[in-house]
Amino acid sequence: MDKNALLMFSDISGTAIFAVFAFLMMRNLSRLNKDNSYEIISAYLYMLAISLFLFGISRSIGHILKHILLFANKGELWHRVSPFSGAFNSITMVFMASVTLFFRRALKIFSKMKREQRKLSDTSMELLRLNEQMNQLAGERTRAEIILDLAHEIRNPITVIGGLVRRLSTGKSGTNSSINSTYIPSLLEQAARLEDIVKRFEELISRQTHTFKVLDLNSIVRDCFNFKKETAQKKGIAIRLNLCKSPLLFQGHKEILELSIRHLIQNAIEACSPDDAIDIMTKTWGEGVAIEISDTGPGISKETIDNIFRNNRETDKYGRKRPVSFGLPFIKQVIEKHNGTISIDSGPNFGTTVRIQFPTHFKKNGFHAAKK
Amino acid sequence: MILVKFLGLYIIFSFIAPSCVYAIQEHLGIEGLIAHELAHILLLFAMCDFAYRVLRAHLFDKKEKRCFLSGAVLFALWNIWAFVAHLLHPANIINIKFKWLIPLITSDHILLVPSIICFYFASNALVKNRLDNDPRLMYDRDKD
Repeated sequence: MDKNALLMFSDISGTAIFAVFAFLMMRNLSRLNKDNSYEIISAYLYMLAISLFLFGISRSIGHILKHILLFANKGELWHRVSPFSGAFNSITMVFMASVTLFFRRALKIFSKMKREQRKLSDTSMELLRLNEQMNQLAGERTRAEIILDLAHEIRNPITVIGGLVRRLSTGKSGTNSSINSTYIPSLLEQAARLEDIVKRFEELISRQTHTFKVLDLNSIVRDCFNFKKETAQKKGIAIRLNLCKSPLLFQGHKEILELSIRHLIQNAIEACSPDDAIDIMTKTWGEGVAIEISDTGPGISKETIDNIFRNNRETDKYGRKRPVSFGLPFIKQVIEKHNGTISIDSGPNFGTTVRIQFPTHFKKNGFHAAKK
Repeated sequence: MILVKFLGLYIIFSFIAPSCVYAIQEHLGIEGLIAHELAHILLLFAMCDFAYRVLRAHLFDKKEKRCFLSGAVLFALWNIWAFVAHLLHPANIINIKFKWLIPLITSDHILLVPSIICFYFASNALVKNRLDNDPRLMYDRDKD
């Protein structure tokens, strides 16, 4: 092949390859930017790709046009066009340089945004902690009110029944006919009041099932992960999320489940040291869905595991005393109310894995069945 | 802002009177060379700055960083190559004695094509790492 033809071929193919790869890069980063439009670094890289593509195009057009016109013996025309082509090329180069130099600014903005995000996250954590305390106080007050109401409602029929039965037992109640006409109807009336109170309580409990909705476990776990990853990273713990590709639908109470999963992740973070790792995974399980939270922390002794879900222990899963009563017993209660199961697999020095499984379909009266 | 204003003026004058602002890509005459060489110097500086910041920032994983860095370094080297090539080009009368260098200086694609391929691989790795996982985990490696 002629040396000039070889040079021409190399020049055309080189510029064309550059333009093609610049286009592919731009397409990749456009996809990234579309899915992460709130990230300044994505936007910056997309802009850089656009500038590279423009440069590639201007370069390709200039070089290829030059070869075509010279090949067609239109040297004069190329001579007239070349200043404009050259100007465009130089402009794209200056544009590309300007975009590239903006990286420093983009990094500064990104760092500032991260700092603000952390502040916001700390504030949110504080608010959540306060909210948990408020909920706890409200819960205790509600429980006290319910108990007082219950005591008040029950006291009257019980007193009446007790009085009537005492009179019957002392033989001061008169003849059989007076017992039948006075005491029995009164006793039945008070018994009916007691039954009514019990019925109202049952209705109150059954209403709780209405708060159960169809949820995606992936979405709940992702939210919890995003909420806690900052804390883990600050401590130098690698935290990874591996979500099931398909949606994991089941019925449950979103807020309570989120609170429980966050608590489990927080437990894992507290147990781990820097350079440990936490893996969170969701998957299908038989006729249900499951989540696994594994860590490479120090693990738990068998004795602690045996007592870990006991109500009278205010301990976390690693046996440490906790200042609040919200803990694993509560989480177990929550999981069981969802017809689910929770298990812990651990041993000293080989980490801990917490497995939670929920059935996909809530059977009829499942809530009550779970309670029983 | 100064850079933006400069770029604006550059664009306007380049299209109105390319010869007057010495912005001619073909560089057949000395008149286009100055603007083009200045653009090369600016781009060289920008790419070196980009490479330095990629190296320093905790934004990318090992593969992404390696690809971005290689791309930027190759691009910077290409700028040096092109800068020298324009000076030695036979179209510039003062350097006609370097005519034997034409095959070499016109082969600047040797650096430019691998450079864009590196950038492309970096973008591929970014997309794979970010979008195949949770999109909300973007750039969480930053430790600033």
